[in-house]
Amino acid sequence: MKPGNFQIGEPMPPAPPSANAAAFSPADLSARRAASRRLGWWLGAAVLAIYLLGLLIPR
Amino acid sequence: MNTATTTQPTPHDAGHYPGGLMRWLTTTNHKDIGTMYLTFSLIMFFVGGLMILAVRAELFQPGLQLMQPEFFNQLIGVHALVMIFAALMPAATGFANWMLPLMIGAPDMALPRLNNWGFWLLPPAAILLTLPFTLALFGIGDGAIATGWTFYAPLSVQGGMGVDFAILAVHILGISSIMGSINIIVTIFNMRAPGMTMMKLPLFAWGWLITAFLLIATLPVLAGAVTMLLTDRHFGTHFFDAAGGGDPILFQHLFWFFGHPEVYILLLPVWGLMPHVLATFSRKPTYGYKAQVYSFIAIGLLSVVVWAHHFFTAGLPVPALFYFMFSTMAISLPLAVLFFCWIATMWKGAMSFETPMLFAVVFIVLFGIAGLTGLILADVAADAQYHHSYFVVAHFHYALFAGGIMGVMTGVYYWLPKWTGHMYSEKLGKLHFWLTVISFNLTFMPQFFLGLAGMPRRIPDYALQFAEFNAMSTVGAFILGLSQLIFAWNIWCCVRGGPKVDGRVWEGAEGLEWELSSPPPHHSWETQPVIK
Amino acid sequence: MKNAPAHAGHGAHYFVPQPSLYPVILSAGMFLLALGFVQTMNDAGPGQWVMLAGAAVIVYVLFGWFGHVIAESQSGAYRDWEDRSFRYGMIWFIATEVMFFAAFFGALFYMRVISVPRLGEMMAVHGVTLWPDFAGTWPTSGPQGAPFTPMGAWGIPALNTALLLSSGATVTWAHWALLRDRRRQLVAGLAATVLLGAIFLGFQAYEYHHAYTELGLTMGAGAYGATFFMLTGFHGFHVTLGTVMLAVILLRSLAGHFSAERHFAFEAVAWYWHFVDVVWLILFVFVYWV
Ligand code: HEM
Ligand SMILES: [Cu+2]
Repeated sequence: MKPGNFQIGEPMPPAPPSANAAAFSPADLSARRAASRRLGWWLGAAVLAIYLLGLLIPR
Repeated sequence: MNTATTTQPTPHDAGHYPGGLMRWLTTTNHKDIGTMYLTFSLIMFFVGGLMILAVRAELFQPGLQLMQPEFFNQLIGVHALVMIFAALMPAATGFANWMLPLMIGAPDMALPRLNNWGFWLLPPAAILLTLPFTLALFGIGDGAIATGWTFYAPLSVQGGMGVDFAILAVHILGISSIMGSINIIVTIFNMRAPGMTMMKLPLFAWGWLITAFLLIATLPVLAGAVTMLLTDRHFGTHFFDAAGGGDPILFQHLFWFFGHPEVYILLLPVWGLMPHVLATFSRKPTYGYKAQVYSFIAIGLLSVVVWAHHFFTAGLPVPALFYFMFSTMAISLPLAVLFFCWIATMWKGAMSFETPMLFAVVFIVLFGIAGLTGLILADVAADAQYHHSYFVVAHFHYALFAGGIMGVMTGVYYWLPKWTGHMYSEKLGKLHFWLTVISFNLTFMPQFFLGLAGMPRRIPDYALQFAEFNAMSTVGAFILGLSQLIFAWNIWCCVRGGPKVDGRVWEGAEGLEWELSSPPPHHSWETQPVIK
Repeated sequence: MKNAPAHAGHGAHYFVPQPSLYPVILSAGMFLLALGFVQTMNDAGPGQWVMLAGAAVIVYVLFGWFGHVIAESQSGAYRDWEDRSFRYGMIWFIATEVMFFAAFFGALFYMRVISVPRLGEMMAVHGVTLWPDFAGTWPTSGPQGAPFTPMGAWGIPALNTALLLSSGATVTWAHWALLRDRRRQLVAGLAATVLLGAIFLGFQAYEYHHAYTELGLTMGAGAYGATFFMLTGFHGFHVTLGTVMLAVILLRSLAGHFSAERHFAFEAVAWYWHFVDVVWLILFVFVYWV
């Protein structure tokens, strides 16, 4: 099993939807996964761009 | 499903526990003690905050407005000591007390009476620290310690009785932290649920384990240093006096041998907490568990060998400057690993942004600024310019407020429903978050520019060219201070009532602590769970 | 899945003590002690009396708390699981003590190796100094210190080394005896250890008297005096604590406490005693000898 995760006795059943947290539909969840993935690429690109820009600044 | 495990009646639950005040004075229960630590921490957070608001008011405009320089110096020193030793450290210990037994499947902390003593040492120490202010009102002594939190000799050797009070307060706080650390180490080593190997330990426990080792390694050295200070002051020794063959720089070495690891002591518990929060709200397992564990260990080891970067300008030999510069910069490598793991945990996750998650995400950004400016300060040549300027003040507030205090807020929002069984108000939480983040940056971002422009720290008056940035900073500080009332109110309401939550609280939450009801029973994990 | 199997874990119920008032009282005592100390140092009010009150409270708690723990132990409340907690706890407590002494040894080495020689070289290297006549050699009371005679190693200090080393042997002998259930030897070994510790302290008191009255060696005797008294003083304080703790163990042994299987308190004190021993050896070499 993955370190840092727990099972008590037998494998844990999938977490029941919590009463308090907003319940997300599967479609919503996968939209969020896609969004965080896109954002990751954008941020990566931005960092790279800043790095390259830095190379152009004369010192 | 979450409540079934732990509610077997126990012989102890027969009800002969004292109630009222006696409950809190005598308790040996980790949850009660955790609650006391956290409450104390919140109170002292406001005490230290009020002190520094007076300071910011003084700095609103150039010239001496409200107070004498001596009093100003007392305020900044006691502010820092209160915030570090009485607000941030007790908050982390409170988390450990509440959560470690729940997270590792233990019935309680390993040494419960010692645990109680560890807490009850704090109020006397806080009184010792702040008493000299009151005494001065009655004409006894000349007020609190006026050396800043660093106690540098020879100023501290010459200072008044506030220094003695602070020295003894630090001794008592030190004993408290040592007792807490021993307890945490023993709990983690000896109380884990069967099957929970060290590499299945929750990262929060790992962070605290390294913290506890650092405390054990460095706090006694601080105790030794302030003891030498005490004998220099009253018993005629010459540790820090060149006329007797001593050296004031010796004090700086001893102090920072403790002082640098201390900043990691303040942050490692938060670094341990972050992956839990990020994983929960990204609905995805923590990325790089092992990498984070090894980074904690590497940071712990490195942090005790870099101390002299705090006094590059004191006149160290050049080889020493080089060594301390490079070793300091080396710390950013394991730190960068942590940043990578935090971000990678979120990547491709189904993220949602409840208050704890908002704090966690912003923590990464603001704490990143702390780390990057730290790298600038670690450069010996650059530090000659920045040392003892407001740049340093800004740097460590990004580390300690955004990294430390906002990390604690993350934990409070994340675990408050677990502790109370009620949901806090998400609306107020978000309001608190946005006000805090904006006003925090309004307060401290200008201080970078002030420092770059040459404004020294620890000074009640300044040249006219610094006026605008200082005014901005003061406005920010007051908004920041007032916003914390929302935080306190939100906590208060959540303790008193609110929508009930179930054991898991957050739908993405994983770990033993979420298998218990919210709030957990008085004795949790009387029968230890078995981890496979 | 919820019913954690009955064979769970250590199969045991961990002993979580009942609520106790001792910790709070102890903290109050320490507060009074600290407050009175600051008062005394600054001539602000009746400091000695406050300190005395604080000390009395602390002594009361020591008797009460430890007495309570001993009673719990005798009642069989502690089994293997708890025992292990105590052992880990004591080990890490001794680790903090090691670091406490490390601070003072650090100060000693820093002065001997770095700051004092530098102070002596100022003239040669930089052509400036307040004190051109200062040579920067060890031992020193500093450029402005009064002359003194350093403490020689081969008189009382060497004798004290022998005393402490043999006390380490006697306490080990007592442990041996305990493991083999030979109560007479246990008591004899402990009594010998307490006696050796007491003699050590007597010699040290004599040495301090000698230093102050005849050698001009005082706390105020610059770098040497400061490190000498701080290191030997804190060591002596720890020997005192250790001797008291050994005496308690001795009394408990006489009362028939401890068994070959269960004697954490004995071992904790023995560890502490060995730790004090090792500190003395380092101290003997670097403070008295070289
Ligand atoms: C890569 C990480 C870091 C580096 C390289 C770094 C480097 C430095 C340096 C060189 C200084 C001394 C500046 C001067 O006084 O001239 C400094 C000051 C300070 N840093 Fe950092 N730092 C880092 C992270 C942190 C963290 C994580 C914290 C706290 C949690 C922190 C807290 C402080 C504090 C409190 C001070 C000022 C202490 C004082 O003078 O009162 N730093 N840092
Ligand atoms: Cu540092």
